[in-house]
Amino acid sequence: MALLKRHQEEAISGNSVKRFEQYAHTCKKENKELNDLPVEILFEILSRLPLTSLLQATKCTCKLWNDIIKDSLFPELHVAHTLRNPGHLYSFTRYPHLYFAEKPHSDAIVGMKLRGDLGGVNYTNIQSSAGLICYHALKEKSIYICNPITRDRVKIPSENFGREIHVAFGYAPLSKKYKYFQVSHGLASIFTLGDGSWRKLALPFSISNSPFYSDGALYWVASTVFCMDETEYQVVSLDLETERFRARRILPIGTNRNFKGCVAHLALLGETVAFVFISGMCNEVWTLMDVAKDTWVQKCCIRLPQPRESAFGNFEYRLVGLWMNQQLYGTELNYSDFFMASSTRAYYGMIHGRRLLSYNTDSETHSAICLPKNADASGDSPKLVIAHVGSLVSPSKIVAAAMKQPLFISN
Amino acid sequence: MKDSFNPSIEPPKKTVTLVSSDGYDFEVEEEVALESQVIKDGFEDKAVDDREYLLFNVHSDTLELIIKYCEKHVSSRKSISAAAASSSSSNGEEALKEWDEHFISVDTNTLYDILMAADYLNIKSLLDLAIQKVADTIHGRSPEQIRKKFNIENDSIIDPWASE
Repeated sequence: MALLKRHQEEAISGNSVKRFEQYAHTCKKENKELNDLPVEILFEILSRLPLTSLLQATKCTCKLWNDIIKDSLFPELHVAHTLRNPGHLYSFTRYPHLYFAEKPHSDAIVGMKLRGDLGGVNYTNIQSSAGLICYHALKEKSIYICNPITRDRVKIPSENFGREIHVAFGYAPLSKKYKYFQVSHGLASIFTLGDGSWRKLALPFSISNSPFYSDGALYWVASTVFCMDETEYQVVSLDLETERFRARRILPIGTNRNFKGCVAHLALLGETVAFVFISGMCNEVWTLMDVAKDTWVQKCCIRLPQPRESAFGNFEYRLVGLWMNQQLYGTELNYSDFFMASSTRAYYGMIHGRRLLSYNTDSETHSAICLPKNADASGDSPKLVIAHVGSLVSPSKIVAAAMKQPLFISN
Repeated sequence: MKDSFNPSIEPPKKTVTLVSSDGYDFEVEEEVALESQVIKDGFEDKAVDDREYLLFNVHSDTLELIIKYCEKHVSSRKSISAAAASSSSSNGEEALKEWDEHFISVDTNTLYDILMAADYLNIKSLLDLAIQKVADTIHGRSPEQIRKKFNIENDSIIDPWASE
């Protein structure tokens, strides 16, 4: 059902006469109908709707709209338009259900409970990119690429499945390919959705954490974050289009504070990569303003939240990203002291709770985020919270389409 | 003789005549007409003296609106770049956005006419504006309300997600 493609072909092959006749016909009509418009325009209109209102609007409005959203070219168009206004996927610690929420335009946040489960303890390494997520199913020991909204998923062939793997999932916007990347025991390999096999990548840096995806590239904090003499940190990026690594540097210019011993991590503010130094009572946030020139600018300092009076134990705050109301948000972990069990030589920590806090940079205050959820999950703390673009992209259709394509071998 | 050396004497502005489907002539400045990619392409292909365009599919009422939009955009682009050159602060872009918002707040029939004319003349910014307007109107409405608002016949028999 390639409605759009057929219309595009008609337009190209000189069939535009028919289209002008259609205009002339529609212009004369007294009471015009939306569906009299050229079908390309209807595609454009529907592709600008955030997923929750798209599903509501097309549910049973008319047959043509159903055909449009089921067209094979629609999901790609829709993702391209909604990429800049992502929603969030989230789940709670003791409940298996996965939720999706988004804030279309200036409205309130709308939440929906998704079918199927990705909460609980059976899944790990969940990452989202351009409407799809990847995750590891621990019991099955398999890797999946999945659209959590439609529950359409494909299994990736994997040989070395293990907990020590650092994984990443990203989208190359020019070639429109989804890529899964992993580092296991110092070896990097990459898998393109639609291809049948893994490719090895030479890893010029030692990587010991999972990367962040932003706008066609993956970003890590390099393991050697501190140079002996200069105060400088290194971030490594991998361009998913060219599959080339690049070393980036962050120099805290004009600051004479000593960054030695600071913990640093990355966060994602919308589409901008941020580098966070945790020092003393504040988190310093630097953002990558110019990707090509590698310019990092200090954005703000986040004052750490005040611990709740009733709570006991330790608190750890970590900036995560940009919440749907365009404010920064982070998680606050409340745990009691770690201790070592002498018999097993393992460390244990008791987690009491986790809060999601949104940060107001003007008033320098944190406020708790209330996630839309069902009554059954009330009182439970959030487990997974990731930015996600609600889409109709189908991984199994991508794989099926790739199978049909003739194979071209290029150098 | 170069006009640019003497800024006090303005060269006579070149104009183009656009003819609507119901036979009205609209004389507009060349740069305003060139907002339309279709006219721009035709302009580059044809002989220079061909300055009349018959727009079979655009009614005079709609054409008037389209010209108003193009004139506004040409003039604000100039003032924005002038403000940028003299590095004075300006809220030109915000003001234009507000103007666009007001411009596109029309009834559904007029909106359809603008959509089709913008598509036919290939004026990308106007097409984007009108498409976004329809999308914003659909957003948050129930299928019943959408059908009523946009005059859509209910021929839907199945729920597309019921089978999945």
